[in-house]
Amino acid sequence: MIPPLPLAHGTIEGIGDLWNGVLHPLRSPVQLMVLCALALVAGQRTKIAPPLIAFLLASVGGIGFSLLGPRLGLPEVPPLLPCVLAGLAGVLVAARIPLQRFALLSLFVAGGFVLGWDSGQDPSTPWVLFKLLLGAWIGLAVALLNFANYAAMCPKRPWIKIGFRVLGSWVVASSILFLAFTLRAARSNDAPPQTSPEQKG
Amino acid sequence: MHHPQQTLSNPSGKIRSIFPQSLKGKSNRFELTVGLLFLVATASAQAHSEGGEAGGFINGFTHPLFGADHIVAMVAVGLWGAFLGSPAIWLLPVIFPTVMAFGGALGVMGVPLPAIETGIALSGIVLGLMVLLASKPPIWVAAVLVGIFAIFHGHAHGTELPTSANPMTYSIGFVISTGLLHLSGIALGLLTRFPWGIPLVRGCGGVIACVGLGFLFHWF
Repeated sequence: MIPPLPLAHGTIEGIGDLWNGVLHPLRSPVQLMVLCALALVAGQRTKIAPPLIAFLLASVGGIGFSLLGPRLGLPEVPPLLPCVLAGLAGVLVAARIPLQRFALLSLFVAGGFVLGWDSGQDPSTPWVLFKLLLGAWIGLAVALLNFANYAAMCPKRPWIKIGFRVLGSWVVASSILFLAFTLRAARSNDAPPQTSPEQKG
Repeated sequence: MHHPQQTLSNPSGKIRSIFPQSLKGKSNRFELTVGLLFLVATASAQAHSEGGEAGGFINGFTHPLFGADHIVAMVAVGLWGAFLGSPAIWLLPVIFPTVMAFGGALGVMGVPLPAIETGIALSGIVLGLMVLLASKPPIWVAAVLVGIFAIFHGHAHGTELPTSANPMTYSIGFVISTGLLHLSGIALGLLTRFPWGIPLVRGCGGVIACVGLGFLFHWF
């Protein structure tokens, strides 16, 4: 099992549980990267509503899975999964690969589910947990809807299309590096502890 | 009736714009722009340690900027892309960060690559010469050349990652920094639209090649 990188962040004091949840996607670099990548994919399409709706619904399922997962003994979201999704979306944007409707919806469903799953919080009182998760869903929804709409609103000019491709390549590059860091962390965790000469004697 | 603002130099007492009446209508926009510039030019509140995500991003973003050998090569990619025109103008800045990330992954994983510094220096020399000589090879040749050099740059970034930096934001930071350097090269390269721009851009290529030579022979 590849352990997640220690990228967890604490809550912001004083803003309440709901707002902590809302800001969670923006404070998680991996989630932010996935959201940006999916927004770019949506922005290159003429009809952006269906994939966005698919994402929102799937994220609800992901959040539900994050609640049930620990109780059913299921592991946390693998750290490579959001990274791979972001990289895939980045490739689609950089290469301007048109996706069939089913493939596109599948991508957004997967993205929504994974990000919802990744938004799981530490067990707390039910009311606090509800606020955190509700806030997380709102944060995901607001972020993606805004990013995607801004991307779709951009004029279809050649240099803007080039800019999208460049942004897609940045997402791919960041995903590859994150993958490498994660694998390095896994390798260092799997390495046997080095024994000192005194211990060997 | 005495107006509070009434003075000898302002007998009407009205508060006037600092700009003359000839710029009436434009002065509001100009003042707004100047005001906004002052706002964004204020120093950021840095009374916090540069750890966590912010520190990682800043480390990554500034890493390419602290190496002249990195800067010249990345500007040269954008310059050459603009020189070659479409599709190289977007293809090269797309290929470089992506392949650079592979090189970075190799560096992070500890996979050794020989002659990194030589490869980086050569990238400046070769790409600079391509611009200086106004070379226009087939697009696949340019892409392969850029890709090869990108591996060296990426490997150097990957091995030089600060241990305290957040790896994710470090990656994002130096990818963005690299991309912005490409964009600056492209912007410079677009000067070739003007007659005087062509020798200027080619001259920049010559400078880049000289800088690469300097790093190759350790003049700097």
